[in-house]
Amino acid sequence: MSRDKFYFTLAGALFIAALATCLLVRNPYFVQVIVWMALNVILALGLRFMLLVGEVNLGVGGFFGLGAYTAGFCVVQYGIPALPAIALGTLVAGLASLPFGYITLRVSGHYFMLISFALTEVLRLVYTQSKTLGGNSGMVGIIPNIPAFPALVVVMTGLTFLVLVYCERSHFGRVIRAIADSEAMVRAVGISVPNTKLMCLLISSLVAGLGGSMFALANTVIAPGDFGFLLPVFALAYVKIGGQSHPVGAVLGTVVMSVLAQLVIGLGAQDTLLFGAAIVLTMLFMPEGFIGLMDRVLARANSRGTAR
Amino acid sequence: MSAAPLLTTSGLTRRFGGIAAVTDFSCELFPSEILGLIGPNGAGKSTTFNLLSGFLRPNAGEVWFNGSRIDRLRPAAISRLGLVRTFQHNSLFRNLTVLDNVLVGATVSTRTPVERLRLAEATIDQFDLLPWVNEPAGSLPHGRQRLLSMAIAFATRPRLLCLDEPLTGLNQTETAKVLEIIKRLRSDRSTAILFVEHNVRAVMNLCDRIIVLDQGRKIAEGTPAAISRDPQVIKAYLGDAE
Repeated sequence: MSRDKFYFTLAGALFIAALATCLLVRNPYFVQVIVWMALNVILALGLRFMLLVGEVNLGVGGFFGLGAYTAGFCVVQYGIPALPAIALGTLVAGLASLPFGYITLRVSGHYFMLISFALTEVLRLVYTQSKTLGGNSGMVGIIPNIPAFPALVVVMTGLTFLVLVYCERSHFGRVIRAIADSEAMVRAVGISVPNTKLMCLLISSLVAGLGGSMFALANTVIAPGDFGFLLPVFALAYVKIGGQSHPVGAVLGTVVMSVLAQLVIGLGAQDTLLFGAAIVLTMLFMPEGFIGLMDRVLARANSRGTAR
Repeated sequence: MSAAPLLTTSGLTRRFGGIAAVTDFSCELFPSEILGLIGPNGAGKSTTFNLLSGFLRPNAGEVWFNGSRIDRLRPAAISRLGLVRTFQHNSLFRNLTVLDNVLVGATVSTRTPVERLRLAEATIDQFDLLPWVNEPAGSLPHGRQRLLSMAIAFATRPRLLCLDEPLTGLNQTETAKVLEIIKRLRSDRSTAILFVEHNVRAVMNLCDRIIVLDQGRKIAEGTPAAISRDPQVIKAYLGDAE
């Protein structure tokens, strides 16, 4: 079986399982876990999209929060229905990323990572100071007006995945992967690197904003603490553990680590230790993540297939 | 030559701190000409290349290309006008396939995906890279990588292709191959070529004209035959090569 076919089948199976759980299982805890996983998949996919161009965008946490607060504000203050509220939250996060990126994408590498980290933290602090947004205690009563909201979240996650895979495999995706390899050569062939990176950030932020908006409605309660720097750091861990070289890696990393986190939930705050250990072990024993591991298994299976 | 020059520089100067890397460099390059830029290490060849392609800004002087002043433009804008360069290192996209590499090169020069694919395939064929079309660029032999970086640049359909030491680090067979391809481009005469090279024999064989730099200044300019007889050049450059 070809590599792509295998991974996309796997992702498809996960998608169907998640959707079935949301629609058929009556246990709200399971459904809540699925929704939380789906939202993390969206966040991880958004972060991964900037990784393609070679930048670690920890700002996805900030844009996730911006989406959540926008959607929450729309619903609580103006009674706007769920779908337009989600659309607005997505849009606001995307638009906010443009001036941010225009200024900050002049730097790259560690510098961009630190600035995007700062953005996430600054936005969190802004929420705590704003009375309109509920200060430290946040916002309550962000209730979606549509039934089967968890299923909607899963479907939107699936759509986001497909759109991002399409982008990655389009000519635009080819150019952003080229930038990760040699920025100078991309400029030398006449392509504006800052504009391309800005476009990349826009896509990444729209995705994060979509995730955040749905998070607000799925959770019905949001507080500044939900949108700290750990959010994108965990997303980064999911991508690295899953494997960066295939879009399904982000999905696998998120699902596996979320399930693990549920199993050790009794440990409380010490689950962070588990993540630290998981990252260290991944770096040591499978630097290419689950994808790298499975690539090797697939290659062996295929070579055995052709030998016969 | 009687035609209007494609590229003109006048009084080009660039200093790094107190050190003048290029001083008062003026030259002309004509359409479809092959011009060699040679000089010993530290002569300012790479700096000149960076100044022409917009990767460095000059402290003084002007660069005109095809009727526009380009010394204040960004590299991407200069490239879109038709002056396209390669680099000594990192001049390709290691993790992309050969086809994807050249497709990226064809981004600006083509309008539709079909046209882009057609141009990329033709260019890959022109540079004899068809057997590797779906291989990751990083896995190619050294000489083929050099050809690929030229193919990427060539897919932009440049008026002037600037090659930064395309032969450095190649063995004899690889050198012969790259020279064969450059000769092929030369016989097309569709694009002018400016190249910086250490391999004196190759430069003498290929170029219509040669400019010799030493310590940031132009010390000679002329046909290969004239250059090889110039006493100043022999002293500065050819002397220590023999």
